[in-house]
Amino acid sequence: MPFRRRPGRLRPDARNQFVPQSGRIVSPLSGLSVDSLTSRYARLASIVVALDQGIAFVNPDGIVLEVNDRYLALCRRDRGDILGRGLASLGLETEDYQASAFLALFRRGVAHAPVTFNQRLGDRDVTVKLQPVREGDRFTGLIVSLIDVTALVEARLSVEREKSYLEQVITIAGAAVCIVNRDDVVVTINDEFTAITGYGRDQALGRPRQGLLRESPPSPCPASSQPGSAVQKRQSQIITHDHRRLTILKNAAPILDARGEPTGGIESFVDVTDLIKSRQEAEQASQLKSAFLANMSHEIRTPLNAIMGLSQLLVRTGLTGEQRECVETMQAAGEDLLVILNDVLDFSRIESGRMELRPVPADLDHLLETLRRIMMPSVLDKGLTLEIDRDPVLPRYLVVDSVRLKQILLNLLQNAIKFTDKGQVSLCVRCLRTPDLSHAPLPVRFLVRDTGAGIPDSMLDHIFEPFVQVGDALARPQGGTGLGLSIANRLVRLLGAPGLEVASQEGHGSVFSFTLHLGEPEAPLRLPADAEARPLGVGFGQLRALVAEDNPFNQFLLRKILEKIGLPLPDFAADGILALDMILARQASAEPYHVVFMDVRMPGLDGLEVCRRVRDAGIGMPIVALTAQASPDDAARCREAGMTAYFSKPYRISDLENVLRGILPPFPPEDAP
Amino acid sequence: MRDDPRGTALAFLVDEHLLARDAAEQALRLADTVLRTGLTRLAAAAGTGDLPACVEAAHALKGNLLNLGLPWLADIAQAVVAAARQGEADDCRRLAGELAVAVVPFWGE
Repeated sequence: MPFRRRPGRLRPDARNQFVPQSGRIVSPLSGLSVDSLTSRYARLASIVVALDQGIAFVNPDGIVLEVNDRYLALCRRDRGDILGRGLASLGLETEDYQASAFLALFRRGVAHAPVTFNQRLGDRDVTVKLQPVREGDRFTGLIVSLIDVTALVEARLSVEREKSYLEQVITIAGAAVCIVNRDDVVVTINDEFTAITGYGRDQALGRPRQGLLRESPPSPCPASSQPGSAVQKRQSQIITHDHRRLTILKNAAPILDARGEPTGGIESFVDVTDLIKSRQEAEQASQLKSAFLANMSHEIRTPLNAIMGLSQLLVRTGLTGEQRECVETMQAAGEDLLVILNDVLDFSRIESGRMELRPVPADLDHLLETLRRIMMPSVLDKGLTLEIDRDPVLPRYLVVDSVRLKQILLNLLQNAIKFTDKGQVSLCVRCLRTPDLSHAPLPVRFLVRDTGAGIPDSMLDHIFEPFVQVGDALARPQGGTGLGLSIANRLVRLLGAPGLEVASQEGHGSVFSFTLHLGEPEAPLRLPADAEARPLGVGFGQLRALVAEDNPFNQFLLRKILEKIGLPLPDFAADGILALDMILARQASAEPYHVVFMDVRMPGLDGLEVCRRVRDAGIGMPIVALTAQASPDDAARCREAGMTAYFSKPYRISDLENVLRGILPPFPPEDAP
Repeated sequence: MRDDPRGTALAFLVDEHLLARDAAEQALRLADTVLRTGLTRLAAAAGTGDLPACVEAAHALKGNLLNLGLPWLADIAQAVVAAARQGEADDCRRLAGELAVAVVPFWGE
């Protein structure tokens, strides 16, 4: 609706409002003709109509004489509701600002300057300006103007909401937050910052960040990071307000404006001092535990070996039947104790992450034959049959930690035999993919099947947990720690499989299986010349051995022990260089060594270096490290150098026999040619 | 047992290594020489502060003592190794002396 006009006349009406009057010139527009006045009035009226501001004119008595369409739109009222009515109809009476009060002040001449205030008008936010109109000293009316600032207010509120949200995020963040400007001066911190550093807002804000925290090593201002670069992560140390040195782990990044230019930077950090201390303590505890276990194994094994060794001797001394039975029971108990001890040690090593694998080219046929020979006495004792089924497409040599693979399969086979009273136990090794020229690792599935008691459904989910055994009635007669399957399962995982799988039906037997991806050796193995011809048997009496040991007493002792177990007189080398020369010379001859015993510490070249050079020369015969006391670290160093096994002082016949049985092809029967 | 290290070693060689009596006595005679040589080397190295040489000598002694079934003496040799590895020359000298004194009963002196 257009601004309401009364063209043609301009005269002061009863309310002292100037209005055009035909033929008369009225102040303050004297000198202008009526036509000019009319014309000018029309222009002003048009301007008022076109304004984006709401405009109203109120006379000194508070009666609204003029109002434009914009005003009506802003207050959502009709002209009839306002025009000729009191000032209150303009909707400007609020608790904070009453336009009528200002009008009274203007009218009494107490106030002269315009008044501006903001208020809510309907659903809009407006800035109100009350502009008094004066003719000389006389107050002649009030111009009320409204500017719609709703969009501005919304924007401001939106910014405030964002700011409040960010402040909440910063406040509840579980980390100290420090925001700096481009000059690396602290502008915002949170409560966690104060909790960690001891600096409150009044002490931190406005101070250079680097001077405040004295970070070591110093970090650059986060605002100086390259825009778009990743969050900078680092560990450093700071000094707190009370002079404590803390280790912190922090993230830092620049804060960018809409154009991507850095306006400051933000850092968040957490105090990891206690965490690091705890980790160090845990590592120390772990080392102590390893040392304790190593010592315990030594302390327990020493008397145990004495008991078992002496009982071996005793059983050969013409005992009566009853005495023999007692001694054999003692031997069996000692062997059980040794199994338990080894289980506990293995489990501890795996749990502490100290079980190291040594994948080497392994002879699958040898492994399976060894398993068969080890298991046969138990199988025959129980009147069972043992079937070993090997997929003919599988290569003979595969890269795997054969010691651990053997340990897993032994455990599964022993369990199968233990819980089977009649029928069969079988070990099946299947290649799930035909070998090709790609040399990609082959999926090899191992299955151990029995026709035994089976496992109740209720136990299947717990069978691999440590210290769990199948129901008491079944397990108690068999004894054990309840760690065997748990260890086997963990070893399977260490070898790269997801874990052991089990399928079982109570009363109908069980199948334990796992699949390993095993590669073939890259280079053909150089075995002793006669090894291929007699893959399943090299007796101790046929072994060619070298002992590399510089200490005469140890040499003497080892010679005597090797004699005891039936080895022919070995060659001796008193230093590492001579040992290396002898190995290389024998390798080039028709009679390479079958096994080398290598002292780790020797003059010239130490045993580890000799071993590395032997392996570098492509020679794969077993090398047994001779060490004073093998800690896990010693064992790891030996394995890294390429040693096959280690043999700790004090030397013991039974240990040496075990080492040799573990690394050499199985013995031929006593009466073999 | 600790009062008679020679008897302990003899029993160890016979019982653990299953050596015949004469072979065990032969081993002890060899051990006499080896231990004396080793202790002399250790004393010289400790006296001159040659810590790497201390490690070598003490480690060899430790192996011999373990093989003789004398772990408490091997522990002292190990302590010498540890002190030398940590650069503690004074401790190394002191422990080398302790080891020499502790081994004396082995010779029946």
